[in-house]
Amino acid sequence: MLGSEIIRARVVAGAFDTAAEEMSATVTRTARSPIFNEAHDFTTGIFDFHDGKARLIAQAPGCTLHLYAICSAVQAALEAFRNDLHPGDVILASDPFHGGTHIPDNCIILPVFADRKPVFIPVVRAHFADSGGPVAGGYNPAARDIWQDGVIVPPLKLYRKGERRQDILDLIIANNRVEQWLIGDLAAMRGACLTAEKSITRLLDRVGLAGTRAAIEDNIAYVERRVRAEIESWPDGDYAAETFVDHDYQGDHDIRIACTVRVRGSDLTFDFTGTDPEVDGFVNSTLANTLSFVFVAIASCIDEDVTVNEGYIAPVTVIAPEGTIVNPRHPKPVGNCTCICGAEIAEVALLALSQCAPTRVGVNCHKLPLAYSSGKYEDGKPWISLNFHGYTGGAGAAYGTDGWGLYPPLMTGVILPSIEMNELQYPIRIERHEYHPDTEGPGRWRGAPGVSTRIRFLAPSITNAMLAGVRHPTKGFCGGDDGPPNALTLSAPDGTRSPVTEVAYNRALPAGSAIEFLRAGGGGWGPATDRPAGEVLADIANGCITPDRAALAYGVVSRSGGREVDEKATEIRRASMRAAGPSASN
Amino acid sequence: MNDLAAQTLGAQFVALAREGASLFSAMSRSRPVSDQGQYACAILDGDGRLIAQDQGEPSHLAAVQSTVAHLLDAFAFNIGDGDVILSGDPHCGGTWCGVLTLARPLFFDGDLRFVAALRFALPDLSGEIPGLFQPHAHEIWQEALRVTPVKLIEASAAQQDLRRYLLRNTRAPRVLDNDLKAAVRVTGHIGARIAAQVDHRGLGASTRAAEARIAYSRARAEAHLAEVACGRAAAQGIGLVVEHDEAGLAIDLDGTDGISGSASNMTLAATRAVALSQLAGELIEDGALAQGLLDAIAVRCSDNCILAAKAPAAVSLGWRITAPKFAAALAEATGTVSLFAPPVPLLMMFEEIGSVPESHPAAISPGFVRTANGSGSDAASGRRRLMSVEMTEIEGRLSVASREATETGMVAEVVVMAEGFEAITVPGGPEPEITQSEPLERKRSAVLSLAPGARIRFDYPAIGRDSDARV
Repeated sequence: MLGSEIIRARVVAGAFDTAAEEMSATVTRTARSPIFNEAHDFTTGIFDFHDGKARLIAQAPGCTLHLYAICSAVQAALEAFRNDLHPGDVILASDPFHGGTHIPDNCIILPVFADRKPVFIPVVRAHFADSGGPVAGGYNPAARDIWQDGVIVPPLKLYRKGERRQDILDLIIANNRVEQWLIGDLAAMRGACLTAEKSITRLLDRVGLAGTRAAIEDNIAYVERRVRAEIESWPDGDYAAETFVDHDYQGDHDIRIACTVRVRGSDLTFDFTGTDPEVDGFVNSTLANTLSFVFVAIASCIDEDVTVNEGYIAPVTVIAPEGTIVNPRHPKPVGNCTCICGAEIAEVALLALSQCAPTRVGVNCHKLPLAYSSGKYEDGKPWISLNFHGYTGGAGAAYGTDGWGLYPPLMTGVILPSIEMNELQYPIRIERHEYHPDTEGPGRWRGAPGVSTRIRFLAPSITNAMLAGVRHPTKGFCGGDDGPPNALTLSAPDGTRSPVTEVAYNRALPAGSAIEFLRAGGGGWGPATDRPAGEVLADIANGCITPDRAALAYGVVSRSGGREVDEKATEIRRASMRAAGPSASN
Repeated sequence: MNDLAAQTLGAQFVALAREGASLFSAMSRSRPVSDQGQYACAILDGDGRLIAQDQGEPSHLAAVQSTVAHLLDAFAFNIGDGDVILSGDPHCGGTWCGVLTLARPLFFDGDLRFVAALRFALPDLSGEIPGLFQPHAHEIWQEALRVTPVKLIEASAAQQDLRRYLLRNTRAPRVLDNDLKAAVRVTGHIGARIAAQVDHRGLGASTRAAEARIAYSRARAEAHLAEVACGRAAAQGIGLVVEHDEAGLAIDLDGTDGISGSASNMTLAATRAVALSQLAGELIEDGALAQGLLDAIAVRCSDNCILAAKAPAAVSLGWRITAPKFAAALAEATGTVSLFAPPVPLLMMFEEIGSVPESHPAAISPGFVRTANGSGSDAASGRRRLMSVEMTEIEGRLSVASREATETGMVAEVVVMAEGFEAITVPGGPEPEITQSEPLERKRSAVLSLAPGARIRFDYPAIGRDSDARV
């Protein structure tokens, strides 16, 4: 490769990355829904389209779990309109069993033309506040089929040749409870794609289509080389792991997800053979979602400077037997798949990878105490809140680092919304949002402490609460301990507290009620007895753990209220714990 | 054109509506169409005024015209030759979710002159519970997909993406696909017949015949409604006053309850259908249903009325629960007998939710009400057929164990013959009694699990005197 070609490749890659980031900024600044403009639950990306296949060439930092799903959704949409794409077309799609994940995640797709052919495709994938169907908000814990999840949107043209199809837009809006947000959000998504179209057109004017394509090939090849080099550094072998989903909200418990990672040179296979069959409840994961969460796990093992494009995906094969919870058949419900069992898919992939790449596996943190609420503003318009603040925290440790801070609510790029903004946008007060001591997973590097949050509702609401990570809390890696269980409590205005054991379905809460979340901390990495005593004392000083916890979980016996280490007692305690094995710290 | 010619051409419109309804009911695969007569076929003029209509049951009496009027407004000047428009939203002129109206505008000399319309119920259109009854709904989105007016075919080009959207959002996609095709063909057939009439007799003759038919309908309505006694009634949440006005009759619902938080609301089109049945049933049977009759009965109410509920009110149980009460109130106010019997026991039975990609929900009510004047369906049931023992048993789900007249009415019992079925009892009438050895209730669900051998008993109380027909 010539030096000029390398420079061209980097210039083109930078142009596409910048275009994707401009798209992201456009959505943030113009969308109406707090889920977009505050929580950033969306992803922007750009694809090229060649020989009937859409390939990811740039993706802005966003919701990581959209990483693969955005690819399969675009491919499905383009196949739906194979010979019917025109400049000015804008496609909306969210179809779980045709390249999608769960129904709330919708894609807006805009083909960009050059030489009379669609050549590039900017896409925004975003979580809509509502998707019609039986419950407001798109998570129906009572769902037993896909139609109870919500209204499915197979690829539909919202705009044809630049002209808005008002009847189709009206149809989409009529089947959504939050019209006042949806109209703005759809416009924001289309606006972002139009912004990218301008950038791409400018790039094509400068570099030409052939030059741009050549540069893209170079970039994809470069990324593939980097990912393959990482995989090649891991020892060949088969690495098996398993984890369990607590329950499916329909009475099925301890649902097994098995994964064997096969490393063969620079090829990597994730084989989910042995996973339990699909279940009645809405925790089944569509194939696209399963692949997305596998890539969430892989991404945590790859250097951050490696941009995400098709080269990222090429070395990886995923085997997900049809009819299992990781590849269910139509019409099983999948509404919660981006939380459960997505969390467990990433977890089991990480557990398997931790055996061949222990120092590379990233944080495990996606089992959420999910609760979302809906109600009406004073003017009668509806609101729907995902209560993102209740999900923050829970970061697991990785080699060389403790689980850090208020890790984003999901195992994603979703950010923590501003409390002040959320209190303006919703009739809520966030009365508590703080670390909770002794809720971390111990380890040489410990998980982040859990976060305790109380959200009080100033107006009547309906809340659906779905607890996970209790029977099977977040796993630690490489001898690190698991995190503790999550907890959810509904609190009446008079202070009466009702713990949620598994699910609270469509619970009407009067004004003054509250939801209390305990988002448990993340799992540890490495044995807790290897954690230097000084770091344990620092944890006591910072309020992460109590002296009792230090002694019980880390074997560090302290004096003076946790300010000094009792060296001798610590040595004895740790020796005893090591002799007893890993479970001694729990 | 003389009166005779106008009458002849007008009668052709009526015959055409009947032909369309008959054709569609024969082509449809939807059980609500074949078993319960939930279909209608109509011909309207370019302004959306009803010229002729035939229907299998009365809930469609006003809804076809009001839906077409709504969709004409929705598309305004964006309707062209070759368009076929679909609408299925209770709050866009309809009655309840899962009932679609397909309208084919017919252009002559470049102008919209006629509309051929078919209205038909589907076995399912998504929603919380398979089928069209949603006992727990408190808002429209829980009940089914809302199909606001959309072009299914635009300038003769099928909108495949819209078709995919509709088919993905039903548990019975093959039935929907078949019935959409059937409705397109039947309206096409009507369009061709009207075109032949115009070719043969000229556009002017056809339009004058349509006007004459509307005028005839109006004259019949005025004469008939003038004989209707006026009065007031208040019971069971329905308060109304019936009075004569310049147009004919006006029903003032000022004393009626507000919109309900349940699914027992009715849309204005459904309410008008009850009023038309109750107050002008003979005219409708006599072929006088056209815009003149529709215009002759006015319904006045506030924005917050259970009988004219606005979005996002749930409406799936209104026809079953509230319509008989409204009919009874109208009967009381006008000194007549209610034509709507109290709701019969009803079970919706369907394949276990989530177990099959295509489901066939069926409304099960194997008997009928006996009255002093005879037995059989009430006015609200229209052409509903009594459940056939043979057909039911051929399907293999159920066996009809007994169906007997008793001292107190009628009792029917069915036995579940196959595995993998669930059901809900539809609120509003006597609850069917289910006996089985396995647990019936499902955890966290109002849906009942039926086991093979389960016996379901339906009790139909007799209505001893005419006056007992009131709810």
